[in-house]
Amino acid sequence: MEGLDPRAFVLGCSAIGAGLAMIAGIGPGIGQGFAAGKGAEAVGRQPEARGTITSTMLLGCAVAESTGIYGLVVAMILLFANPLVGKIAG
Amino acid sequence: MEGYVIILDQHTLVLVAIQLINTCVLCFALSKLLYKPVLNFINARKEKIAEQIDSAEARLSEANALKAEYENKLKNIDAERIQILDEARAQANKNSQLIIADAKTEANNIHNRAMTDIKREEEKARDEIKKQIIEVSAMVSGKFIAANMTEAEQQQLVDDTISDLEGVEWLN
Amino acid sequence: MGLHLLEVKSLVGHLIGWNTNPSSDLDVESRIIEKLHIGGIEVWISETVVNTWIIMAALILIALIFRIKMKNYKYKPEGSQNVIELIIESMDSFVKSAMSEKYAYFGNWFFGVFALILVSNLSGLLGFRPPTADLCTTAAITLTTFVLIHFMGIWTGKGSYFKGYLEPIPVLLPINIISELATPISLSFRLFGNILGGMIIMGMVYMALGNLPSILKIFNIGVPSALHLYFDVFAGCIQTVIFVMLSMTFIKDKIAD
Repeated sequence: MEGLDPRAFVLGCSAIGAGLAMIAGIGPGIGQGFAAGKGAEAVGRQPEARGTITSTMLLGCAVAESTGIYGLVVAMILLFANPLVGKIAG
Repeated sequence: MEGYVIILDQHTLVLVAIQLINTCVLCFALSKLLYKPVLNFINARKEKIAEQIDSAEARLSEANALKAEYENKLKNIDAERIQILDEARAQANKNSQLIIADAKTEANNIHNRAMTDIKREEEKARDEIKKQIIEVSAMVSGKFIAANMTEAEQQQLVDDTISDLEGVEWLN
Repeated sequence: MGLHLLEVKSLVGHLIGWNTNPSSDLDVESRIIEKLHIGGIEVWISETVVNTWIIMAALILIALIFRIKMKNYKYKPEGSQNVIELIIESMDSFVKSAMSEKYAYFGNWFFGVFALILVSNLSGLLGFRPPTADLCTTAAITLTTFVLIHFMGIWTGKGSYFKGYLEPIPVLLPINIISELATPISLSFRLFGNILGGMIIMGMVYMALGNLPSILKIFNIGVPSALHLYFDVFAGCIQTVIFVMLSMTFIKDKIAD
């Protein structure tokens, strides 16, 4: 580990961590896809309830999105407000 | 120039406080300036419209009641008219019969009167003729008798004859 | 205060897709314009705060104009009266459908929140850094929601509000408290993450387009406008509606009826 700038190492690992954090986006993607598919099904079955179905689906999607947003925020913190850089001794 | 994307230190708290004040000021201002007055305006209008619809409905039901009443009346009027006509016809019939009866009796009366008149005239004429015959016969008999008797005897004779005649019924 | 506030990328430029000022590096920071020291506390007047003030001024100005115009509003609406009545009435029916007829007075609060978030999200179109792309703004707005949730819960529920934390079994008290605290966090992070994510992607697209060789500059037409349409207009409107709707739903859930 000689000659390796600890700051650069932490920043590089943080970038990798940010990228890994964004894997959290898979979950909401699948979940919202399910929600949208079920919504389309529901609209196909009951076209007259389109408005209610759409708003319910959007609300559900928004809640399902939370986990993905948490991942995004973690990535943002690692990229723009890295708390680990301050921990480097010296 | 310095900047931040995410900060999690004491500056965050200050910025949150500033934004909190901003949000509260904006919400208060928009509520006071726009939301409440416009909503009050809309609600006042809604109430007014509801009132108008209510009054219109009340008037409509009133008009419907009036209409039903008048229609009923009109139907009754038809019946009444028929009744009146019937009554009038019956009355007229009665009247005409009365008039005809009157006229008949009148005509009868006139006829009778005319007959009595005729009879009277006949009698009169008969009387006249009788008188004239008497006169003529008297004259003729006078002339006959003048040749044979005096005036007194003649008169005596005529009176006797007339008194005799009064007892006898004339033929026709 | 820095003049760069006026370096507003032109709306027309954004709409037709011309990248008027290609930047070589990712520009997503909320710049600090002034550092004030008030009573020993360092107060940063950042781009977020200044943009919020600009948006507030614009909104209050519009409200004042409508207020003055309202003086000659008629029984039969016409012209601008239709617009403002449509906006206010749809907000009113939105609150009534999400909460109930009884709590329609929450419209007074959420109308301001809705206007602030919507205009903030759309201000990216005019080249502003959206104030909602800063965690401080969304945290502040969510804090008011958090206060409203628990104030209404205590006010209407009294004892049953506190009892709710011990249900279904008292052991779950810490989990219940954490889930209560997760509500404002998820609410504020959702709005912040969506707008900031869109902004970062837009920044990267602008960065890429700025570095295109001149023969491929044709991509500068249309590509940013389509992305703006999605990230600023679509996501901005949807996130506004979702934020306000979720806030109202959370408040209504806590109200004991």
